[in-house]
Amino acid sequence: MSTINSADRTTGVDRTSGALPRLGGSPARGFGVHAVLALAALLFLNWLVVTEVPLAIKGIGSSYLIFFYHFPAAINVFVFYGALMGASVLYLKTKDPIWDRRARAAAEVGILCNAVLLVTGSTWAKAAWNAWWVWNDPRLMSAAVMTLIYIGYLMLHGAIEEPARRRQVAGVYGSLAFLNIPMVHYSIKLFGQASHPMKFDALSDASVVATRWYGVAAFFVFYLLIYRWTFDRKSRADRLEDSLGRIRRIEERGATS
Amino acid sequence: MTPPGPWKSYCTLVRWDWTREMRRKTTLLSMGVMGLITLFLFSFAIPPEREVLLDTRAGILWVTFLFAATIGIDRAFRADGRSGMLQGLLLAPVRRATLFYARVTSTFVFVVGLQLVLGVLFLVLFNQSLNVDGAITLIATVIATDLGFVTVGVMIGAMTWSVPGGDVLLRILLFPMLLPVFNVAVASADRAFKGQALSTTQLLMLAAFDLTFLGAGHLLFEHLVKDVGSDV
Amino acid sequence: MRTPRIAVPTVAALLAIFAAPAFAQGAGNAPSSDYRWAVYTGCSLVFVCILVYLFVTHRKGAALSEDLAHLERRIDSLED
Repeated sequence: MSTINSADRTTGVDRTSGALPRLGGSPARGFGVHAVLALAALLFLNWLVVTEVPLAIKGIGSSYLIFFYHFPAAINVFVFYGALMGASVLYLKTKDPIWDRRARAAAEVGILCNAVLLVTGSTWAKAAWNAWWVWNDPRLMSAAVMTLIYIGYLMLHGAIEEPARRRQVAGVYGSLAFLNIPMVHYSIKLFGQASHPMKFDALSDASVVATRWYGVAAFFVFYLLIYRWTFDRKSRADRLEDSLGRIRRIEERGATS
Repeated sequence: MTPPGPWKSYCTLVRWDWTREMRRKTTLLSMGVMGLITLFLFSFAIPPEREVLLDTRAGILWVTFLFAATIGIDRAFRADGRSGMLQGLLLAPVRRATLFYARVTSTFVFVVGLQLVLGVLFLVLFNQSLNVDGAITLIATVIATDLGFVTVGVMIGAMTWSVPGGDVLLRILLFPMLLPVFNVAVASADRAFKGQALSTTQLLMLAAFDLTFLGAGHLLFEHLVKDVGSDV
Repeated sequence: MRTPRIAVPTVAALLAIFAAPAFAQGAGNAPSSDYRWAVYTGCSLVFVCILVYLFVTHRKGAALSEDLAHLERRIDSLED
């Protein structure tokens, strides 16, 4: 079977799918175990937040508790956008559609982290600075611009009809996009005032530091679960698209012969 | 017959783009008119009084530049892709990177030329003046900014030309990517209007952006045009 | 685009939960321990709901994958 497929591809008939003999993509194994782990990790994080860290710190009161959900989102944004870039580069190198699916799943989870980051950050800003949004803070602005850039990635991916070209173009955009993030950060840092509360001394308290890095790990397990879930969905969608393409070709062949 | 060297093909391609554009003039005309319209819109949106303009003039100038120049960048690939010209070009024995640099150069020349005209119009219409230092700062800013702007623009243009409604998509992808240069460009233009000399930090920031994306374009452009000939 | 669809209620729930500690206290006032545990329960419930949702839809997806594999085999036989 696979020989016929590859023969089709070399003659250009199967160019559009660019698929491997079988796209594969059986559903993620060990998903239930992973889900239980993620839940346990997050509940433990909540427990740390209400028992182990100071309940209020000088200057911003207990509003700082949101930090333990905000900071992990900030780190994981970079993890998933970084993974998106890595997967895009690997797609361009190997042309294996699985990297494209990985990149897309990483993009969606990255955008989810980014949304959590912006919403928790904005809420905190309202409590601490009495404003939902501040235009001259480099971190806020880079987070917002990142969202726009990566929503652009999904829009670009959705806009191109032809699968091989879509993957190719999205691969290039995914590789480019990450380069922009330090640029945005430094360009605003040049003029903005960092009003970000990272400078509070209480945030370098040992219990706070330990809890926030534990939070990064716990949320990583959680976001990774969402990533696997998203990746499964992408795989099924791609397999369906591939099957439809094959059916269409069979019909065309039937019509011509 | 040996294929021409990269430098020779580069020059030929740039000259060829130039001749074609000068013969058609539609793109240049739409860019100019769009810029003019944006300037007029600003005169309504922001009261063109002296004190207000002191804070807003650099921003007005760059938003105008951005809107006008994007039209040119959008056309750089859409017209050629649609007419089959791009596919023809790709059959020529030219390295993809050369094609990329040539397209960046010709678009750059058009965009800078347009911005010089629009800049003068801005000075006249909004009653602003520049001293020598300021003029040098502004011109250097325009050149350093446009290089990054056009580089990213050509890349994104090559991504979106085949998409229906790709002109909108191009802007959606391009503007957030340009935010860092835009930010620096406005600050630098502000210095220019105040008659100050160029800031090294700002110039370095622009240069870093330009070089990063030129390098990325050099490596990645071939992937954007690889399948064009056969698939479209 | 299922992820954005679950992202909206998730983010809304997180906002509701996290906005509470952010607004409930003036600077310097430590919340009561009842309040802490209310936050704990609220946050934990949100996570439980999300994970149950992920798990249930994953199971449904696994069933769909089998249907797809069946479809692919049918197409294989048609192509031969």
